[in-house]
Amino acid sequence: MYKVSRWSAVSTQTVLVGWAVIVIFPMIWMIYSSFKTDQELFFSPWAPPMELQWDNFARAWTKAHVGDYLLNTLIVVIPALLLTLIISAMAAYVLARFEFVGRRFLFYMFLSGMLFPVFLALIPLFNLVNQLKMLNTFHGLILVYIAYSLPFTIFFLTGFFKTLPTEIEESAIMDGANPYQVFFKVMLPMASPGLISMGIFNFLGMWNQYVLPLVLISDESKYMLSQGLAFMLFKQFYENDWSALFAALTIIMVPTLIVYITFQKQIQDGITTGALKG
Amino acid sequence: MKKSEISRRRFIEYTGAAGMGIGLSSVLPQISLAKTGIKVASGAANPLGLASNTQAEGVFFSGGFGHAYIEYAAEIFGEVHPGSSMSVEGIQRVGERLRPRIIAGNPPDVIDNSGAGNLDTGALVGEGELMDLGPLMSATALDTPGKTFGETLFPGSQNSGLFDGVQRYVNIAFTVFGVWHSKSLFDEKGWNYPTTWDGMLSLCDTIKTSGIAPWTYQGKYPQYMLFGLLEPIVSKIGGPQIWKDVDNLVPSAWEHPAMLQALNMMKALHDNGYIMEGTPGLTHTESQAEWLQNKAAFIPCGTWLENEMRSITPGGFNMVIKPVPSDDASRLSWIDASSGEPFMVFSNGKNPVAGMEFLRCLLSKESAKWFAQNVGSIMPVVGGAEGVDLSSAMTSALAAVDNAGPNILDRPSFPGWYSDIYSEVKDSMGALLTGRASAEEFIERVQGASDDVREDEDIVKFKRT
Amino acid sequence: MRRNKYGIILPFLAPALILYSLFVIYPYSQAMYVAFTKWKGLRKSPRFVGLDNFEKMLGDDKFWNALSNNLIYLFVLPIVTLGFALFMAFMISQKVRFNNFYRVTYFFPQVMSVVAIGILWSFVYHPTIGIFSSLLKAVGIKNPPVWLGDPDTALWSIVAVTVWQSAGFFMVIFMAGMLSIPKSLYEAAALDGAGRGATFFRITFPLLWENTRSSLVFITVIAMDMFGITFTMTQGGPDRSTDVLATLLYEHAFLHSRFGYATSIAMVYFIIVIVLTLLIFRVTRRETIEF
Repeated sequence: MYKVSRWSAVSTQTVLVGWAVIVIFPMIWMIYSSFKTDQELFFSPWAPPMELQWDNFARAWTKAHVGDYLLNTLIVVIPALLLTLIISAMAAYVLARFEFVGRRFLFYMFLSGMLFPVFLALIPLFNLVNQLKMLNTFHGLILVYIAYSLPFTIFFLTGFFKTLPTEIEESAIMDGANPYQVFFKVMLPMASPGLISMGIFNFLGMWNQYVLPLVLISDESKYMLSQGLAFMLFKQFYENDWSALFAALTIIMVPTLIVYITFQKQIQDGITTGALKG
Repeated sequence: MKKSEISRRRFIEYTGAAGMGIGLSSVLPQISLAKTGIKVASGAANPLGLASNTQAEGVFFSGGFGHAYIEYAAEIFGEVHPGSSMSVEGIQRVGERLRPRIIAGNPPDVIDNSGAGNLDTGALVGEGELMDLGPLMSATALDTPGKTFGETLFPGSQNSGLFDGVQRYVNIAFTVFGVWHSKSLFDEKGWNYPTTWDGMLSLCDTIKTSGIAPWTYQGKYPQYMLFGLLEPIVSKIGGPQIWKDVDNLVPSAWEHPAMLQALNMMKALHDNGYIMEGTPGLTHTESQAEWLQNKAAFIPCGTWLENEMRSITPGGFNMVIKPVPSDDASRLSWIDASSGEPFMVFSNGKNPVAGMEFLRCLLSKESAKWFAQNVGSIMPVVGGAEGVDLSSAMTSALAAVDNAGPNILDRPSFPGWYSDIYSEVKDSMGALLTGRASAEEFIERVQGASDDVREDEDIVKFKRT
Repeated sequence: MRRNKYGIILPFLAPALILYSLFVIYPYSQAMYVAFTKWKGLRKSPRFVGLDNFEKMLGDDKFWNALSNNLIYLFVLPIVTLGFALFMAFMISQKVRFNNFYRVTYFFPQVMSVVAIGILWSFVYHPTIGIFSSLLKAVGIKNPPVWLGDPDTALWSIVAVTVWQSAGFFMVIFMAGMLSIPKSLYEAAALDGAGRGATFFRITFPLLWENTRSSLVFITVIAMDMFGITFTMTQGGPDRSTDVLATLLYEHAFLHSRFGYATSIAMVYFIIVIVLTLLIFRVTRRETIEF
């Protein structure tokens, strides 16, 4: 490799460290601020707390129901994610490996869903979910999450199935396996890197989803996480409890951070391969 | 000046606050209920004909007043109608939460449509979503014997809920609007509340030299300066016709010279650097919190301020409300006071009767007393503050109304009728108070919005006199 | 070769097709109709008015204001974010010390919810609670701007947050491309005595075509949307200085009860996204796309 001058190495590190501080510091500030009293928040924004106000977290957890929002989000996201993967993989397999009338049309129909702004559909979607008697239900939200994750997941997995070698599949058919066995025993395991990418990509999308639950869930006890957080923000405008809001942000951010650091390699790969195929 | 229907002496009589309340209730037989202690007048238990075992649903804005008072009213409801109940949910951003349900034809039975992000009242009325509350107004009052529900409310307090003569909502809070300061701070510094706007500006100068910002306002919500300052100043300078013309979309109504003068008076606060630094970036509670720390001396607000900030008000702060001064000291005492916090019943709800019945309970004397005692504000209910100890804030508000005598100022209705004009006023007010718009530009922008509304045939128009 | 082909095609496609048609296609096709109607978003049905909404849009200052804000984002965000991301990706892939730490750190904001980021940053910018203004005061700036309260700074404050959130994401996308560039190319360049700048512009950047194209599409979608961050930070204010099409249509629908008009704005938004995406693919086309 070519030589890098000492000066250039130092300036590179300065820029990199500088940006790292800009990324990290707001979060560190948020975490230690969540231990302060409202008075301290207002009068000494930089200072660490005089004593740790664990009560902020208690209020955020119980009064502001952050714990419930976390649980609700898991109840919806886990089944939605698994079903998205299996339903998309089935459709993508057929689209990638079979020739039939209308195949192109179907593929483009799914593809078009990636381009619509969700806002366009909100009110009609609400009407529909209401007619199906699924408003304020977790299963209603799960079905909607799946439907809105399908376009990209199918698009991605179709590309993925196309790249898989055909020999193994053909030899399985020769051995007398029926199409279902071929799919579940042979193709699905082979597609697992693609499924993992899509799993991570969709998990983050669903975990942070804001607009869909805003319209489909109006019962406060069934709020999703982002929705609950925004609700706390608007409520805080009337209730003067800034420290609990900081605590809630911390409660939400710290697990995300831990999960992220643990799986950072897979998460980055998942998101970027997802993004690059799009 | 238009005489308000609440005259001076009558007002004290109505609230019963000064201990002069007349015992209206001792003649007829009553049934006293155990839990809330409400005394139901004879024959007043169920004038609207609520079916037994009705489970009704209410969704209410939970803002400055909290929603404990609504829970109390629901308790009364359950006690008067054993077996029936009213569920109570306190929410923010009423529009986002409820519109989907309205479209779906599944609205709650009764709502409080207040606060930021509420439903567009003009559209609700125009589309026929709201129940005609006539039957409620003429029903027997719950615990004031011999009166109808309508007769137990302050005269004129429900006028803003009349659309083409039909009662579409009822206001449940009697609110005084004005300029607030800390009496303790002013006593300590030896400052006196000014009698004219010029006096206000010179006092601001003194305050500024002492290191305190003279003014702040609810930054991100500049509309507080509309009802706190612009409305009363314009009425004081130019008389009551101006806001009526504005409401009636009379061409050039905003171009009245009094409007220009009032806006320029307000703009002087910015031009002289009297507005607290950072104000435009604060929410209403945040700016109010700054004011409570004596970072600023004056703030405009309605009487919900005290309860809204109760949890973080320093002891001995002694907040008091005063009418805004104008060009003429003799009109200092004139003040904006009106009833607000609109409660509505949906015409296609499951139990509109339960919705109305709930309002009869909410605006009962018993509930009004609880509200005065625990929320520190008053309902527009005759005798609703009898025997209640009021705080310094509420006492000062009632004194201000008392001083105003017949000169209770009329408030404009356009904010509820035409949300487009109201939005433009908010934006332009922010621009004026940060020096980005002149008074003339303010008028041009708002008059433009008003003209657009007048010419838009899809917007339902209302008239007032 | 495959007998009984439809025995698998139908059951495998059915669940996806049913869910997608019901919850995606059907609401969108309804919306296409609503864009040509007047509708208060209450119980009464939409009333067909042809192109009225679009005509009205042409004369609507608020629409043009919001669109021009989107255009500012469309212009600034790709340059700043992608430029910065590319710069950092290049530096980190040079095997600097702690490169792994930087990569992990920079990417993190991408996994946080937009609502959380919006709330966090409105506090960072806050005139009294915030650290940013007090930092400026500490270094001697007397009257720091009221970042989100001043129309001159609000939009740029949001730009900064968006860069903060997404730069790491685009950096990782570029790094993925850089890692696939054969080492021998760099070694040859080094032998020729090329410096870092020359290496970057002659070798790295041209070979990142695919990644650049994907990034451009993504940043376009971000710049056209901006709803979550705007809604939690400024709600389009002060004085509409941060209003974008998404917040404007939300306001028309939910504040002024104009669902027909709001939906027609959403249509325009949709058309712009489609046109820009196709344009990006056209301009950066190097090979035919499959299918």
